[in-house]
Amino acid sequence: MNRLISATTLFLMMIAPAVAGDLALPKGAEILEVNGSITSSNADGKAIFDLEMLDALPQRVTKATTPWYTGEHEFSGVIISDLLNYLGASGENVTFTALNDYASEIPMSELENLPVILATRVDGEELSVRDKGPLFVIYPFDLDSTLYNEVIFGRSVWQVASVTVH
Amino acid sequence: MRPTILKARRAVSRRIGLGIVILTILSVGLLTSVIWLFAGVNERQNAVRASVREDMVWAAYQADREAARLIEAIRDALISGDIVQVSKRFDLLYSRTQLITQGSYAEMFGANSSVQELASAVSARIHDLLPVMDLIAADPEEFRGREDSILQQANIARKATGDLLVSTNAAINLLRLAERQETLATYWRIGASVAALTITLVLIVTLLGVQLFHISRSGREMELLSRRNARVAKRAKSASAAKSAFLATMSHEIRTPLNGIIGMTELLRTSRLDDDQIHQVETIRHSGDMLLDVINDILDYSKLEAGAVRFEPKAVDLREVFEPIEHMMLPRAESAGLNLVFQYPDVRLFADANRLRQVLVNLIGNAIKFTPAGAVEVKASVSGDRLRLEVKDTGPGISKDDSSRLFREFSQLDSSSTRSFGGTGLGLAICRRLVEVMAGDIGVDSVLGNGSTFWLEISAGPIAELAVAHSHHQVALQRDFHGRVLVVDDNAINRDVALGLLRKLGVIAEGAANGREAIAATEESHFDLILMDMQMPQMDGLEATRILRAAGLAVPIVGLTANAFESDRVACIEAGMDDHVAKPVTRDKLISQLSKHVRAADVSITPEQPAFIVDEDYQQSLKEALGEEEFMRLVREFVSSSEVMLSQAESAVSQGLADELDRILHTLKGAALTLGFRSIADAAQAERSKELGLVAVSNIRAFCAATATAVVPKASVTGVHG
Repeated sequence: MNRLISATTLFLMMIAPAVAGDLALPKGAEILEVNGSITSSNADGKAIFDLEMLDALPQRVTKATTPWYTGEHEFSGVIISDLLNYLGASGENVTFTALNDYASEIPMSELENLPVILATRVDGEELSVRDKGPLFVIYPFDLDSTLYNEVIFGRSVWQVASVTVH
Repeated sequence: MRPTILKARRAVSRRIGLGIVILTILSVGLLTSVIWLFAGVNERQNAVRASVREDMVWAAYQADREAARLIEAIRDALISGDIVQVSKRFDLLYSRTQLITQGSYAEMFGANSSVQELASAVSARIHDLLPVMDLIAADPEEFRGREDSILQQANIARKATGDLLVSTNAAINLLRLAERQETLATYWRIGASVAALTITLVLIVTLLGVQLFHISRSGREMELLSRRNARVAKRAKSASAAKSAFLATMSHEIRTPLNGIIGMTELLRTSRLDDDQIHQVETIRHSGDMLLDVINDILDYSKLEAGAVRFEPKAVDLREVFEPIEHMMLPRAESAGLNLVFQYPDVRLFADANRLRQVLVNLIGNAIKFTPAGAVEVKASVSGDRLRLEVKDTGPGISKDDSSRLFREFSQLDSSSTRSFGGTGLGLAICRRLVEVMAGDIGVDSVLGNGSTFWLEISAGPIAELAVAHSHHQVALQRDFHGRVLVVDDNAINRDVALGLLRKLGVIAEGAANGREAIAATEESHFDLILMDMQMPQMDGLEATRILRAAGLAVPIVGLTANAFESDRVACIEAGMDDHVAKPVTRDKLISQLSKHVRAADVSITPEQPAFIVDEDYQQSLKEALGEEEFMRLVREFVSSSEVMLSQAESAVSQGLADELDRILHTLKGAALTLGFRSIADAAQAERSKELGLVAVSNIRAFCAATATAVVPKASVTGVHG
């Protein structure tokens, strides 16, 4: 029985990169959970990230004026499309859910076309929950001024806690 | 009437054009304002977009909701002791205070609005909670004992967020209303501008329509006008053609009888007349000449006016230009008692000989007419490609003031000279026109009382000098001719005049009434010259000439034309004629033609065709001295005694008595000369110079017989009645 379990474990370990556990486990505070149609995970079909893991992925700095802050600020964080690629995500839409259960859906195609980021920092300082942290969906307003509209503002979710690909 | 309408129409058209311009400017202004207004709306939309109005009611509602959740979490904590949930809810609420005091939310209402005050109040109430919340976040145990105050403060905060929600909603509604009103106002303005623009454009289109209508009406009127003009032009053209036809008819119809008057007058002049009659005849002749000049001038001038005169320069020897003029003008100068001298270089140049001659004849004619005594000098000189012709006279001269008027139409220097000299006053105007046609200059240099020099200069290049130079050339005119001339003319008067004049000039002349008779005459006998009228019944001159030429007849044929039109000349030459003469036929013209085509009498006398020459002037003086009867008696005596002398001469020849023959012939010659029978005297002298064996008394007899038949019967008739 033990051998069977061992063999199963071994098998599971062999196929792990394709199923689960191919991602390293977070060392610091968990700030993001990605679930849904993803191929890489580190916990039961979910991918759990700490800040360090997110910082390791491709980053972007978006310098723009937003409705939520006075004046221009530099938002920096992981590019969502790279994050999703990293996890082998596939689907039509991505739902971003905030700590207060606010949720908004962004089409996958939009994320593929625009370098939308999950901002971890504003002006180099980590975002706290009190300051709309820990993660903030920031569109590249610096590239396209037509993004200043209500639909995009609605999709600009802050205090993001989880992402669902479907 | 019409011009008034057209003028009014032009004014209307101008006004419409001005209206269109004004409306166009107006429409451009309106369009600009519409664009500006639209841009304004667009900008405001941009501003709205740029100001990024997060739904503020939503933000207030969220803050209120988070406050409610915080209270709920505190109540839960009182039962379950889940302090972490309380901290999390507080953090979320706190993040909301950040949002409503910062960013566009703050901007939207401005610092002093009541909404902003309420927002600040919310922020303050939440900040009031901050120290205790930080405390319990660090150590959950601190919650114990503070539950009531925390709940109370949370409730206060909840009250503030509730107030904010209501106030924000009201403020947003106001803002929306104001914005909507402003947008509506802008739309109204744009609408008004667009309406004005539309009206303007409709007006422009209407005016353009009116303008188009005007234009098309003008077009139709222009078309009508041009058609009318074409009709008028056609009428004018036919009127002009009628005028030309009238002039041609005039020319023919006036010249034909004039031909008769002048010719018969000339013949009459040579018959025996008393002094009064001579004066009267000469007056008739002079008047006829003047009338002819006038007709010619008017014809020439109308041709020039009609532009029918063409300048046709050809290579020509200057001599060829001058010789006919000399032939024509020398007798005139002679009869006026003037010395006419021609001087020209022997060059070949490029000019219209006919036009040059026309001008020269006119100038020389004038010089002869206006010079009472002295000389007229005609001089030609070339310099480069320019030909300069001068006609210098010793006349009365012309004052400077008058010279300017000279070349004008119908201008003569004073009315008295019109009376004394006659003429239309067109001569010099014609000259000027002709010289203008030749692209040259004409003028006069004159000092009053010291003669005048009329000059003209034309470009006649290239000018080439001929091998034999004749710097001074004087032509001696031949007055006596020998030969047979056929005059073909259907008009009996013209024919008789020509025949009479020709006979006077010593030639044997025969007449024919038309081309057919002329051909028959040439078949019967030989002629040295044929004068051929152009228009004749049965067969005209041109056709007759063609037939004669086709038959190989080489005799010179000179056409008699009713006018001096170039077309007539060309027709003559093309038919095979050698020359042409414009009617009326005058002695001068005949001399000129005979000089060219018939031998002079003193060159030789052909025995077969003896010419009968009498010294008329001498005979006339004899008649005057002796009386007509006595002269005739002497002639009859001469005729009978010459018969005797000729018989004696014949016997002397047969007997070989040279001295006897010479004596007889000398006597005969003397008798003949005494009575003016030049031909007989010449013939006698001719035989005297021959050797005895070659003497032919019949040569002399032919002349004597002519004397007997031509003169004696006439003389005897006169004698009987005298």
